[in-house]
Amino acid sequence: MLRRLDIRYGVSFLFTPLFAIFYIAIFKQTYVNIHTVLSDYWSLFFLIFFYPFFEELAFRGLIQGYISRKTNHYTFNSVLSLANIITSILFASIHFVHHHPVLAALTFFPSLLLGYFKEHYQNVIPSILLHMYYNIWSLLLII
Amino acid sequence: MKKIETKMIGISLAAALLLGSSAYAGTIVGATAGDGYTTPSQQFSFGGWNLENVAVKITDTNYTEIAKTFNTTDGSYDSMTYGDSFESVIFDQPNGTIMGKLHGKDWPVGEPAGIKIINGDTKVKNGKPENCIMTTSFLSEDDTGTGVSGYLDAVQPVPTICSSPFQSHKRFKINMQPATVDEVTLGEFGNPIDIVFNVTPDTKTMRYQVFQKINNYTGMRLDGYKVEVLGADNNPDGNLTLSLGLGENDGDDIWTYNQLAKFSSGLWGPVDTRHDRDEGFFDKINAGFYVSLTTTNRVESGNTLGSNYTALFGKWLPYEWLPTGIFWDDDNDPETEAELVAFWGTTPTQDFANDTPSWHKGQADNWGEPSAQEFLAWSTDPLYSIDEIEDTVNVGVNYIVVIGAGYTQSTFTLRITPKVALDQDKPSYETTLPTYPDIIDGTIVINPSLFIINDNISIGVKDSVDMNDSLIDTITVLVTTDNGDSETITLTETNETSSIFTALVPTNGEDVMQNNAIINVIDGSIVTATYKGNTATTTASGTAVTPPEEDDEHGIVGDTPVDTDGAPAGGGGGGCSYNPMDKSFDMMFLIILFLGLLYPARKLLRK
Repeated sequence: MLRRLDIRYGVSFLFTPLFAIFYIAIFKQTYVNIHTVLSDYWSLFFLIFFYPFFEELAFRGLIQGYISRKTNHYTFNSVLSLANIITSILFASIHFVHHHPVLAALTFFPSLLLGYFKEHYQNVIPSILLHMYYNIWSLLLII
Repeated sequence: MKKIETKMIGISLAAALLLGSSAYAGTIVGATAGDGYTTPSQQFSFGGWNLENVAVKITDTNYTEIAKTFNTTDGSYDSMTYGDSFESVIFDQPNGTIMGKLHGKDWPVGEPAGIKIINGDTKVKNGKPENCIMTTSFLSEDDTGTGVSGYLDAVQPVPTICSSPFQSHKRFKINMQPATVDEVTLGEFGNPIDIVFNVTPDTKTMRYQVFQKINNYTGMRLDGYKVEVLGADNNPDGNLTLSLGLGENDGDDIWTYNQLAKFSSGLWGPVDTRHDRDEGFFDKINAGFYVSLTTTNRVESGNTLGSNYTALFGKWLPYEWLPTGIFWDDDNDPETEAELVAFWGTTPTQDFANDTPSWHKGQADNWGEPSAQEFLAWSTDPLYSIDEIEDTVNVGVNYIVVIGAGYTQSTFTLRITPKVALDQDKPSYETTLPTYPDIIDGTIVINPSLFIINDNISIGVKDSVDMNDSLIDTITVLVTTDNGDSETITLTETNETSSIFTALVPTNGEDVMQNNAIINVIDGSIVTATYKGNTATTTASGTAVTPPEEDDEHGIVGDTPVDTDGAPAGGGGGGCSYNPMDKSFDMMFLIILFLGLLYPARKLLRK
């Protein structure tokens, strides 16, 4: 069981390039000046470390845990929990504040993955690491 | 287990590297993107265009040759100055018949000979080639990214490259000459223009985007064109192919069907929010041609794109039949394109060859005829001018030249051939020349009627009563504002016999000072101009508005552009709720921080 879960976690890292391809296909171009971003260590720190850390604590740790208890840990096919879905909707919602609507909506899917691993490992650290990896990729795809 | 996980991560990283990298190749002689401009009065990236069938002339801006020369062996040329330009004449063979004339931008925006090669530009997007064939132009201060001009009169000129911004003058223009249609049967392809390139053999396949316009200076209407790529022996070569970019943008096409051969999008084209461009003056639909790859080494135009070009003007106009238009230089910058506000001709529902032409506004104004008041405003405002609508004969084309790894010859040829139209009807505006409406004496205008404080306003008057046709007369107009200013402004006749008087008057938002020749206004001020003529007293009015403030939320912030919706572009992937455009700690930051800290705090409290 543990082996299967670990494979899934590894596969989730592969999810990022696929998401990137999907993203590029939709947006055709990226508009961020990568040189500006890379030369701004403050932005890099926030993008790669700060927000993944605190977003995971907030959403996967606090919110998903709270909703999970309130919904009696209800799951669909033992894979997706109701709490994960609701949390992911909330997670995607906050991205509408500062991001393109399509991109914001698309964050729903990686959020489901992050929520899935939080529940399976009963620990928020795998989600934090995966989230950081996603955000590093978000830079790679615009280089 | 660890091994599997390591493999998965390794595969991910490999995929990342694969996507992040891009093939590099470049074997037409030329510069590499990023090379700096080093030698004044020597063409940047010289050597890629083979000039054996070309005569490069340094000219004035009317393309009359002047006493300066261009050295075709090393690309050096006599020092150029303002008012200088160039023209590269393309023959069918050395010193043979003139088939084409190649133009770029006048000095200091451009330099001879007109074509350069850029290799290895990794900043291109959307699957476009990293190499290109483009014109010898330089970047303006708006495009260098530093705010400093990159033109040839600047301390450090900055050449355009393949990935340079939209409308940074990347296309070379080939004016197809009468010899290309000489003795050609109507409906058939004419005689070709050959552009030859010098190639250094390479083991890699390379792709070149061609930034080009083909312009009809043949003297006949055209019905399309074809472009072929040929080997040094002027025969097709299996290693030389053309591409229209189909499926080359991560499975998508690089260009849509209506971007492959089109007339100016400012005249025919849909709204372009990304480039802040309104729908076309003539039509919301692009004008131009469908284009297809008829053999691996030939692209050929087909039917027209379905706009009203043909209804307005017939088949692809020759330069000799350029329509006349009235243009507004909306930004008072001669380097940018002026906006067409009216044209002399017929509407799409009329017969362009037989119906009587008149002045019309564009499709957005339902082809309405301008009023006499508008004509007076246009004729008295220096930002308006009458000129020929050149973009009605210019077609921008997009295609890619692919040079296979096995190509071993030292040159290859791009061959451009026009197709002569069956219909050669002359438009009626060529026989009925533009006339201008009679403007009633005493008519007065303020232009623009809604003006921005600190901008100049134009005041115009028409009065022919008791004027001296052998002198440039002057009249006076009293300008008053509802916030207390009063100015007596002198208007000067535009020429001895025009009876049209004009003055350009500055405005500002400072305290009112009467009779200082500046109109002091506040937001919403009504400005009234009163003219006491020889037969009547007439007035016109305008309204002052505050200059729009810079809006960082919807404009360029620092060096970081925003996307088409005005919303900041996310980095992709996770993206985060982080605002990439604003380093300040906003409410979102505080919410995430609070919720994030609450999670471990609750755990600690439970313990």
